Amino acid sequence: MRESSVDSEAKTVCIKDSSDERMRAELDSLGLKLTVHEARRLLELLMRNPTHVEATIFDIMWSEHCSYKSSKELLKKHLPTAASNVVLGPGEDAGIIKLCQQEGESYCLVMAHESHNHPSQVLPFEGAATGIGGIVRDVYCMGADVIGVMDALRFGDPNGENKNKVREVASGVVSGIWQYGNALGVANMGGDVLFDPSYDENCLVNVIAVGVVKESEIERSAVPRETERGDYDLILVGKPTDSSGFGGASFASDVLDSEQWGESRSAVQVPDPFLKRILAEANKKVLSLVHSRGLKIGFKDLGAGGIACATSEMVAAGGLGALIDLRKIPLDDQSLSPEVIVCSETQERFALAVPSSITEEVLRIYNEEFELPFIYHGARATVIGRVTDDGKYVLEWDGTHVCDVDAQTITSGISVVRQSRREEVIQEEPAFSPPADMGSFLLELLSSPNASSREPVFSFYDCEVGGRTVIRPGDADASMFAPVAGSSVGVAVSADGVSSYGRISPYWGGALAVAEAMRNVACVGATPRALSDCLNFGSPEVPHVFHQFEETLRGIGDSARALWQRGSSGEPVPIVTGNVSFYNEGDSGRAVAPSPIVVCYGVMEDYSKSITSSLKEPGSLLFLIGERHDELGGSLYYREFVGCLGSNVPKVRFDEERAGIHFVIEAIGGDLLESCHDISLGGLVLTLAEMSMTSPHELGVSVEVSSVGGSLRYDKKLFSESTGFVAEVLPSKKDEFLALAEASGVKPLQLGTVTEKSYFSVYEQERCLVELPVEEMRARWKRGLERSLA
Amino acid sequence: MSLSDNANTDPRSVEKDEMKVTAICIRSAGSDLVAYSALDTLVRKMSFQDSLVSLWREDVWLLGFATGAQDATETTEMLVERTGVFVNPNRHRHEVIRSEEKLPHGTQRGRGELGIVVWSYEDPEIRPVMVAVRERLGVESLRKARRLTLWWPGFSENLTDPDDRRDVASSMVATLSRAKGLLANPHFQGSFLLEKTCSPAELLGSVTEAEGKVAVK
Amino acid sequence: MKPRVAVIQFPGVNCEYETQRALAASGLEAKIFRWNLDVSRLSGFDAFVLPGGFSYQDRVRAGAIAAKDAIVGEIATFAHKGKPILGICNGAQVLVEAGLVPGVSRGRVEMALGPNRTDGRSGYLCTWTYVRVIEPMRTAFTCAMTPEEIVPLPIAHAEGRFLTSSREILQVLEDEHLARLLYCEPGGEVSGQFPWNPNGSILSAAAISNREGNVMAMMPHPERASWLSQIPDWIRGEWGRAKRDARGSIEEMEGAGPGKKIFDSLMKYLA
Repeated sequence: MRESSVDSEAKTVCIKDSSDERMRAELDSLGLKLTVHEARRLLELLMRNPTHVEATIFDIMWSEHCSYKSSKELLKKHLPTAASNVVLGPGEDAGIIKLCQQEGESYCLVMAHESHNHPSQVLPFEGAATGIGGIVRDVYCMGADVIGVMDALRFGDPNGENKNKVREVASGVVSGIWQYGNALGVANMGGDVLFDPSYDENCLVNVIAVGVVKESEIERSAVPRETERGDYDLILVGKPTDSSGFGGASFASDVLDSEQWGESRSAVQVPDPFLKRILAEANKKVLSLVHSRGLKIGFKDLGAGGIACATSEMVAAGGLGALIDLRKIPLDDQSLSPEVIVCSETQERFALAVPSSITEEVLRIYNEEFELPFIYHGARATVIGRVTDDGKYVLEWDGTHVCDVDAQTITSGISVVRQSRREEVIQEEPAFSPPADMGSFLLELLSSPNASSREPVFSFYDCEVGGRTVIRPGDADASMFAPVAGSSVGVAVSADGVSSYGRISPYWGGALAVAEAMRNVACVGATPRALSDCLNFGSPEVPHVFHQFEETLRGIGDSARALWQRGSSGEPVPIVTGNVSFYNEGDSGRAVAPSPIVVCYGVMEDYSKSITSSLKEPGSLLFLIGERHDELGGSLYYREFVGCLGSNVPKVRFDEERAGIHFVIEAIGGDLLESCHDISLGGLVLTLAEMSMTSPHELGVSVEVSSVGGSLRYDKKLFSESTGFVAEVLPSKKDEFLALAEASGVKPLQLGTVTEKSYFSVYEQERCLVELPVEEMRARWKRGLERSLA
Repeated sequence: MSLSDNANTDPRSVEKDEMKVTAICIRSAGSDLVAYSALDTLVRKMSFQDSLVSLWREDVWLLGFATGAQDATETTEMLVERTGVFVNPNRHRHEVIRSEEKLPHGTQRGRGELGIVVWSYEDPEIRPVMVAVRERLGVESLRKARRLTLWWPGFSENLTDPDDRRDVASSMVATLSRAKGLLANPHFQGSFLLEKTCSPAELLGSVTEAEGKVAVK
Repeated sequence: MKPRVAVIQFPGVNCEYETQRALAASGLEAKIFRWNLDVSRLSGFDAFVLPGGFSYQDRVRAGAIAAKDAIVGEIATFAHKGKPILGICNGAQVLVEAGLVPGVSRGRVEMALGPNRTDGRSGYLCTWTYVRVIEPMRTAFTCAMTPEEIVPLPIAHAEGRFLTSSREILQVLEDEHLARLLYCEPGGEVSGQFPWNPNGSILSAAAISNREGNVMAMMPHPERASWLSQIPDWIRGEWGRAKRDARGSIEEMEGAGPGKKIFDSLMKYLA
């Protein structure tokens, strides 16, 4: 093996044989965030001083964001990632599961899930838009057609002490998402928005993309290893490189400090959906060329760590190397230094490794057929180097080697052991009296930020582009798409994760997020087939935060295993992709609440059987599935009415939960339900209210709750957030429904009926608890969120 | 004071003189793709290949305050520096023009001697901005706002006659057919040539006057 | 031989594939035609569709730059020869900016599609509208429809307001009923009020054609309502009922939706 040699002209970082203090000073002077320990490790690997370029590359590759150094061992330990329907598990940019067969072809579902928290706090519009851009890239580069995106958003208190900032961030983020997504032509598949003071200084923006690909056309990022492959060129295509996002990966791995705000702003990348769309079309043409010639290529989008990260990963997987001439990289700013060029995170760029026999054709497709240089100043496809056989990753700058390291060393990553210590959190259950007028309290609640309708946000999102939408976001607990033309298969997705549960018990917070996402998918009739997660936490260097992280993982894992795939022999619902976002703290150093956001992907064989959550038929019966327990810890009721957190967080009774989920899916498949809605935030009463308010004919309900929740006080019956569902069943189907329930081990409780009269009536025995006109409820509910975002 | 869609003040109740008008000139931090495509269209797809060599663009917000000049300037600077309502530092560079100053003209930074002003008669951006500034940020002294695009064509050297330049500039603006005009659609956008330097108030005055004429039609 | 339709792909459009699919479902042979291909290749087509999206990122003004592309000049020639041209959403904006709609004086730009402006709301809006068809037999894209039907169609745009500053043009639009699809209430009453008219369009126009009826600019997206499965179950009137009743029947779901008749009309016209 050739010895690693960089030229003496290359600027080096002199840390060999240095004391810790001197090393720290030298690293700091170059803006490098590597710890002294990591720098020593680097010295061990290289056996010499690193060049500035090399040090920068490792700085990024070993950042938390890129390396998962604090989390990867725990992720492996706790999360189930394998199942027979998994085609590609965690490891690449996206996860892939089997979807369906259609006309002799096997189709797969591709999913990617990421966070873009810090950038969105600093520059909400760009941060969120770039998040969408990045996540669809992850799906495109698997060779898939993107069918939609989702966003799970967490903002601070819009009425609290930081309300101006919170509102500015919230409206900027929503704007960024729809403007990018709509322009790109990817439908919005939903998401959720929650407000909590914990996010006042550090919002959460989780983005998800879903795509479809033929199994035979899945692109891998790695350059194929075949010995007969001949020469492969490395092509960079897209925007000319600038310094934007430089330090982006390290930026995500560090706490937001408002003093550094000015610097932070330049670390946010600039998104361009239009260029992305052109590139997507041109990519299709290139891939089609490649497939028609029976060739294999490496194809990867550029995200964190820019060119260095993408190209090193592409070659490392096959034991190959690369030789790149940095002067060939098209630049927006000619004054950039080599380490910036190779690590900057300029958006809308892809890297391809193609056989040199087709290089000219590939360049022509981008530069002439799609006129990249005319459409976007400085954009083009260029050959920047080639793939080599010796496993070395070599970067040349004006004839000097400024980087010469084993590609596999660059991508090998790093691990760090963190301290974990449980924090004793004493929460208490409050003693309080229920509201004097439950009806007016409910009206207030309906217009509160967390309970109100999300329509003010949806109306900006194009959820129909692509023409494959079956259930729109907002019409049910999960949206549904029929992504394969001619096939009856429907795909349902839902994103969930209530942080107040995590504050009481990270374990239950994780378990509940999984259960809720699955229940939402079940409510439309789809079977949960995969999960993705994004774990948003404070600093892993703080022992109790790290403990929260591990507990959350344990909860997610336990839930995913216990709520196994329906129709399988106990296979878990696998977590196929995801992301860990640490260092979510504001200036004050206060970490955000443990915030797992879990997305469930469900599949339905025949989408025509799917149902929505709005009431359909006057005279139908309403059933409660999932008993009510004294579980109001973290509930909307406690927070809005009592003003406290509480301690009785809901639990997931795994066997009951699984039975309930499977039963609901089967009942919908058997055409036994008219509508179905899950119980979560706001408990039973909010679920019933939503079913009523969204019914197009403003149907009312008349329910009686004396047999609900045993001896619970009435308000607790209504607002307990114990898991469950409410189902609407035609009287003619009642017997069959109950028979199926019994066979499934589920005990539905009849609550009452759907009424033609547009009144929402809840009684306990003879006593009227709530009696409100649906129209009034709807009016409050529809406008609530606008007030929080203005 | 209620806000109409155009956020016009009632001209009878606040005299133009009482209003101090500042301007925020905003240009692209990186490549201006709108100007890039506009130039490419005029030169490659229309008939300006011999007359036009460059095209530079800035957006100008004109803000009318019911306060003194000092306050108007300070408020404008605050709005720019501490909020994201007008300027996005990731994408924009800006200049604040005080009410007593003139807008940049001539050869300053890419501008030329002949500018082209284009604006939408009923710009949907105005109302949300007025609401954000007056209600969310509590700046009730803001009484009027307009957003204009100011284009600065760079003519080829052989085009020396000012009348010829004026003709070329005019023919770039009002979109009358596929061959004629690009920068404004006269059915909902106003436009005029800017041949000499002027203050923000003067510019706002010209815009308001043009709107008045349209309303009468 | 099936009639051939070119679906023009300007840089930045994003509805071309589903538009192609919808055309094919009505029996037409639809090809995606990149904007910068040799224009002589257009002569083999019988009709042209400009689909929705964000051509040239709406730079300068929505549709303004695409209108100047050479391919539009060629399409204009075909328009004057009577070939059918449909512009959907951004495509409609291109046709208006190119002077092809309403085309009272050949080549003149007589209208604009301006920013949405209503009492209820401004800015980008994604929602469903209901439209009525005026004198269906007079255009190539409505001739398979009837004046009685109420057609639910989705919109997704920020500049959908048909307007003109010319009194003469307005008079022609009114006198000759060139507003061919009108926004209406779910019960069928034509309405200028928000939310039924979502953008403040003059004459409550959802679509405007030229006098000859072969060129039409429409803002709603028929390709997003061509199959029953695509419409939401809360849509009012008979289409909503049909959707709800179709639950459980994949055949009905994969059957015709309200927007299909736009493409069926083209097929009928060309056949």
